[in-house]
Amino acid sequence: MADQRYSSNNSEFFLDLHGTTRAEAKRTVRVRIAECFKYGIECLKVVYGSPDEFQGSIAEAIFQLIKETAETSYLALEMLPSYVFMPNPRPEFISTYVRLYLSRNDRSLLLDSDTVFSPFTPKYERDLARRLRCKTPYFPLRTEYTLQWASRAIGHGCTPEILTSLLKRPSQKSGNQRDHVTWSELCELAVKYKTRPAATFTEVQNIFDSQTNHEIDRPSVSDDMTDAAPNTETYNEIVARALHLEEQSHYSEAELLLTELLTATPLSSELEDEAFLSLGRVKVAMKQRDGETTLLQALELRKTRGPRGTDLLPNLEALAMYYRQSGEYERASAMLAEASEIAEAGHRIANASEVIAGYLQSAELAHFAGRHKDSLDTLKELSGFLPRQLTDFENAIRFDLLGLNHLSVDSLLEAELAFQSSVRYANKSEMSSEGKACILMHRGRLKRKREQFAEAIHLYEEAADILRQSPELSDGFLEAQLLSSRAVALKCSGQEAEAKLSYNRAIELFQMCGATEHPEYAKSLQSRAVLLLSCGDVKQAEQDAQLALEIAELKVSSDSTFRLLCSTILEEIAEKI
Amino acid sequence: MGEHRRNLCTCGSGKHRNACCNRLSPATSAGRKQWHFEVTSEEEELRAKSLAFRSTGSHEDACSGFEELVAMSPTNAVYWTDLGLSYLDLSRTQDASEAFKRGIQVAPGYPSAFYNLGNISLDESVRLHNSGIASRADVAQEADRAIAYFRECLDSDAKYAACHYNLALAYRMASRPKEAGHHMTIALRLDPSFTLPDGFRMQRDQF
Repeated sequence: MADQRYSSNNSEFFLDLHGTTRAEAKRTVRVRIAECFKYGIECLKVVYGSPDEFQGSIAEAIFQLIKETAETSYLALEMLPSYVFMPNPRPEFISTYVRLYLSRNDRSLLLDSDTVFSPFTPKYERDLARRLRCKTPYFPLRTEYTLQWASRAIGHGCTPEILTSLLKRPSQKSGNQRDHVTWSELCELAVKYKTRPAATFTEVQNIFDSQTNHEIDRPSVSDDMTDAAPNTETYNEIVARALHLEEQSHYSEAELLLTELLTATPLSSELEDEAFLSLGRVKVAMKQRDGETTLLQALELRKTRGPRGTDLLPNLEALAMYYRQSGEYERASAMLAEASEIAEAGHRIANASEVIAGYLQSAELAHFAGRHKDSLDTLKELSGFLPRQLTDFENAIRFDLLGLNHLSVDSLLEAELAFQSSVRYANKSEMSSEGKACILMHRGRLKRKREQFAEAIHLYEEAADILRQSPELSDGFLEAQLLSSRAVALKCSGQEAEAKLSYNRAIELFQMCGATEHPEYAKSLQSRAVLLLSCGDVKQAEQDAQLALEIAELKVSSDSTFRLLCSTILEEIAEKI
Repeated sequence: MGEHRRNLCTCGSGKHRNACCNRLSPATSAGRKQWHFEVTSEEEELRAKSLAFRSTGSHEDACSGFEELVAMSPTNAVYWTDLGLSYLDLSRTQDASEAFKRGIQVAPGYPSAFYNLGNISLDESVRLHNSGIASRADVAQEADRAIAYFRECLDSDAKYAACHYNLALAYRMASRPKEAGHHMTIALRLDPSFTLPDGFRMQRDQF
């Protein structure tokens, strides 16, 4: 049964992945390895059960992940059983679990009551308590939870007030209210809440009814399937409605609608796929941490239902988009490559605009993943294979990418000419203010590299002005990047006080827009740490560098150079202390 | 010593005559080196468009086109040379010089880039001379720079008639009439459409 526990006696984290999909299992173990390393936990025991066939099993996914993470030095590989490294071991020869011994981490953090391990979704787990244990963020040292936290964990419209009423015993007086519950109490409350009659009709029903004026025969919200016969036509309408809400950016309503539908209703496979994908996209748009999980689940679900066909494309595109947004460019690139392979194999005829967009996206991801030559080659290939004349907008993007790549390989003159062309095309096209600001920011980076700091600062400010003209289009991430870049230019030109203010605002904005795991945020923290160290604020510098390192370590496939940079600063700080 | 000097090229390079300008003899010289750069159909189209802009006097548009070309294909020395010439049309000599130098960087020995750099220095030398306020040393220094570029150009393409012609002019600016006469003779032999400028005379014993 799916479970997770931490035992401080033998410094072991126990992770049972029964009832979990392969993709989710792989993701969970990947994240958990990084987390265990971060907190200096010595061993991670992963239970995957006894598969009938090794191929396609969770065990295979985990062994594959172990091999992928071999380069990161998080794991002590010599302690692993040999079958982990076999290409296709026989199921009867492998154990039902594997103990992953983690490498020693000299900078490990202490566990306290606020230490949290990320949740995962055991899709096929029926036991409510176990589902809750896995689906909610896991605080190993916390013994009590607030009612607000508990109501959010239970979900499905549960509120602290409902829990308070469920907590009250008939003999209890109303004045003696509790605001904390233990874990076992929380599980009991969840069962009570699930079985109480009032939980059947929810907010979702009201939203939907008010907008469609239809009476929908909905089953109750429950983890178990109900006896109500599925009404496919009605569910189709609900999914269509959710998609419409997603398009209109009414994400929370769409999420509620889809969650209720997926939790309580047996759907046809096509409809379930569609609902899962939409839910994943909505969660990503709302910057929820389990957005990736839902998208991976949706992909896994589609893959299990038939051969890899072109119907996988929307799932892969959504995942590529998610990885791009969260700064995991290599993974985004892999998703895009898989999508392109499937489209080719399926003889899907793409129109010229799709082909061009594909090339540009691929070049962009290759650039941000640090493969500048590949990116330039892709753009060259595009030039030789133009299905039609590029529009001004496409040219603006193409030259911006060319500029970025030239800049990365220190061809500054070429970069300058490319950015000039990009700006020219951007002004001719109907490019969004965010796009234009982005090009100016990249040009600012070039100026900074040429040590023309005053010009760089001017370009950053110009870009910020453009962004301010239409603030509704920006989520603050680009502005945060701009401020961070401006701070670097100010620091280099000796205006340290101004630079500090710029960094502070940038970091605040990164936090506000929920990009606290993005590599750009980590870079800002690291850069501010350097400034603070030179100003003598050692304590804050240490905090920043430590956090930057943690973010870098959270991603198993993170930039090793950046991690080294953070470690070097921390060493410098330690020397000063 | 005397024998050795007799075998040296009269252009003053210090090289053996068979390894320098004299190899230019129509009977003995090898063919001119061909430069090949990979070009996409889009680039071809854009270059043709930009050249058309230049020929009609739309120098700004031509310049934008060549800038795009070098951004798209920075290893093509032809585009750098085109861009440099375009900058010259807009009197942006410094940028032009940088573009030609970048052309040489991406294709070492590319003659047109050396030739154009030589021209920039030669023009500067003439400008200094005509201004009347520059010293002879300054004029000669600039001419020497032009000579160096032209010679590099001829090392790659010894049959470059226009380069011989301008090299002759540069030698004259540097007050080295013997070498000037030698290269003017070669230029006129390679391309009879050139006219002998005032103050020059053909060398009879060259070939």
